Amino acid sequence: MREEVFVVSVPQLGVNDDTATIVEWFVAEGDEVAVGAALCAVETAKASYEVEAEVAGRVVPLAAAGTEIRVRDPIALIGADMDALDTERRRLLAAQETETQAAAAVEAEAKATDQARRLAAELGINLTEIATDGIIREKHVRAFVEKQAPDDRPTPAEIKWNPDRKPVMIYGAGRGAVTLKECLDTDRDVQVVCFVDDDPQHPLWLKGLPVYHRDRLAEIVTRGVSYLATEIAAGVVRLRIRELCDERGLHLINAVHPRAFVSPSATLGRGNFIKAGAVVATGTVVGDCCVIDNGAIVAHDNILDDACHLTPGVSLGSGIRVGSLAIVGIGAAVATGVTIGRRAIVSPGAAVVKDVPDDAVVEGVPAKIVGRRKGE
Amino acid sequence: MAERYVESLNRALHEMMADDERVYLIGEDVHDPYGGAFKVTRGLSTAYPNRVLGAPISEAAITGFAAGMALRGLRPVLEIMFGDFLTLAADQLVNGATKFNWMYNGRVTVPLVVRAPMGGRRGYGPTHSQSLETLFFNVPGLTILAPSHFHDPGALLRHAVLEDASPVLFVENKLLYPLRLEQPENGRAGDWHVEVVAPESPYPTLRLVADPAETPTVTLLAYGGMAPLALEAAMNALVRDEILVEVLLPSRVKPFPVADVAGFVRKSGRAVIAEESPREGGWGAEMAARLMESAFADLRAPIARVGAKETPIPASMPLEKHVLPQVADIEAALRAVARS
Repeated sequence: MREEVFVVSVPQLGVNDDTATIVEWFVAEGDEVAVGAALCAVETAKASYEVEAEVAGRVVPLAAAGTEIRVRDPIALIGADMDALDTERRRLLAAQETETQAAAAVEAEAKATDQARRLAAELGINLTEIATDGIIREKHVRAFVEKQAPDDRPTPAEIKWNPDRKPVMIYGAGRGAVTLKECLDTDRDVQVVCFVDDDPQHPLWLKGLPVYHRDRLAEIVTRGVSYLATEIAAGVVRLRIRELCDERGLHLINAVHPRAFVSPSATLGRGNFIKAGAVVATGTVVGDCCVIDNGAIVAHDNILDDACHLTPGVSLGSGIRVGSLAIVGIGAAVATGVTIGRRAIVSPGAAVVKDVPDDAVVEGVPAKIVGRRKGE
Repeated sequence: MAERYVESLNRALHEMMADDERVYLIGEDVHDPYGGAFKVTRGLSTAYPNRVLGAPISEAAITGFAAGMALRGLRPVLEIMFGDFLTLAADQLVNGATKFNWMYNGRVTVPLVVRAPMGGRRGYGPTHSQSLETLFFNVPGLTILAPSHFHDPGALLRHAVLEDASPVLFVENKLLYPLRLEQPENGRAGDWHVEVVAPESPYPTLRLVADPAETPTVTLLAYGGMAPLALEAAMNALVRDEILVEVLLPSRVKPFPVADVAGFVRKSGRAVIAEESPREGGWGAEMAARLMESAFADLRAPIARVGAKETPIPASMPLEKHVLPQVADIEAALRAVARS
């Protein structure tokens, strides 16, 4: 005779109910129950009711009073034979345990978007290694990879270059550096071999060339790289780099784009960057570390002092003096004979028809003083 | 463990009746031991036998009755058993309660709260499954609240009853009753970062987003019973397509919460509005028009609306799924808007 075990489960009385709480058991394990006997009291969000025995036999409760269970889950077993009941109970509990473990595993598994998972799988990364607050996205995987990137740069001692060319390091590994390298790449006399940067978080590579921290400058110089160029935006920093070059005996070179026109009678100091489209006409004298940007027109017989910046599209007449560290804003026009003071700032589009004092900020057509330059 | 939505309402009713003897409860079948069709009023008739009034099956009568109680200085809470029956209460609300303050030149107020369970997805059929708050969007003087399980429904109900001097329709989506309230801790609830928009408002709008550091691609507006579906759709859009969606859940749907959401829509430039009522002429239509007015220059795509189809809600569960908006419908709208 097959031993039958009857499973008692929580019925779904209310359409709204997904869970129920066992409030109280009226029977204990092993008790004999008759058909219709009240087994336990159960409460859902909607109602309280008693679960009754549908068959007679010995009862084995499966969940303790106070537990919240899912509707239609088993809560007790009724049968004739205690051994059969015990076996069935152990089987049910084992099944539940597996389910709970599986659910926990899913929970513990890192939450990630599908794209992040695909990228991680591609790159062989275990998602649990990525510490993120919230759901891991593709950008987190990429950031993780970048941080983990092995340092495969050559050491400065291993830098190589074409012996027919002068090896140049570019100081500063930002956007300006890329423009500068592009310009120097057109000059067959020189070869950019590496970048140097002050930022400890600098990238390891830029445009296929290694980037080194400024602390390794000595190694680079020892290797034999004695030429340096820079396009750092801040004029005072460019002047400091000039000092550095003087200290270390490095040649601070000019970079003149092949599409710029520099008159043969114009003179350039050191460390200047004359970009594509710029014009430096007859007799103009340019100091050190100036930037003459795309399309800037410097007509004849002007003087540009150290570290000034003529931004794109600026137009200078003749007989003008631009003071050291001055910045002339985009598209501004400076009339003949005007002197722009040291550290002055001319706002974009201004029309400068009168001298501008040192440290003044001017704006408008015609340009008027609107403030004073602060800081370095 | 957090309390359920229905328990929060029940507790709030107990507390407000204890705190203020002007609070009365009127409804059909609200007495113990039954305690109301959805058990929201359980225990109240036992605790306050003189202030829980069982009503005959006549929504028009009891709405007029409750409006009268409010006119005379009481704080009645009227339960309409299914929101679908509000049609029977409509004249008392539209031509009566919401107009008295104006028609009597400010000499009276009507602090009446009408609570109504709404919503489908339980197979209850065409006349027991609707979200009929939409019929009342065009009635001046009526406030309509529809808290989600991320709000504090008890607190909102208490404010509506004790602090609000004008008529309030309090919408309780049936789907939300058994859900445990999501109570954000330190601005987090599960995978969601939760922000309270305009925290000084008694009826707050919540903003939920998986990644607060990034500007979302799409802003998803939803309320009440659509909140769980909206959040699931937003999460799916992130996980499957890396589309970052912010979900805005207002608790007050009339007056329309345009000020709360317009700034977000201007930033993301794309909006999807999801509601359980039919799409045609629904909440989304007014919200979209108002957002078009205030954010036109910043919109990168037409505002999309998701709602029920233009048919009655079938009693058959599979057909009901076909008519009412599903998570997949919201997801499809999110993807379409994100791509345009």
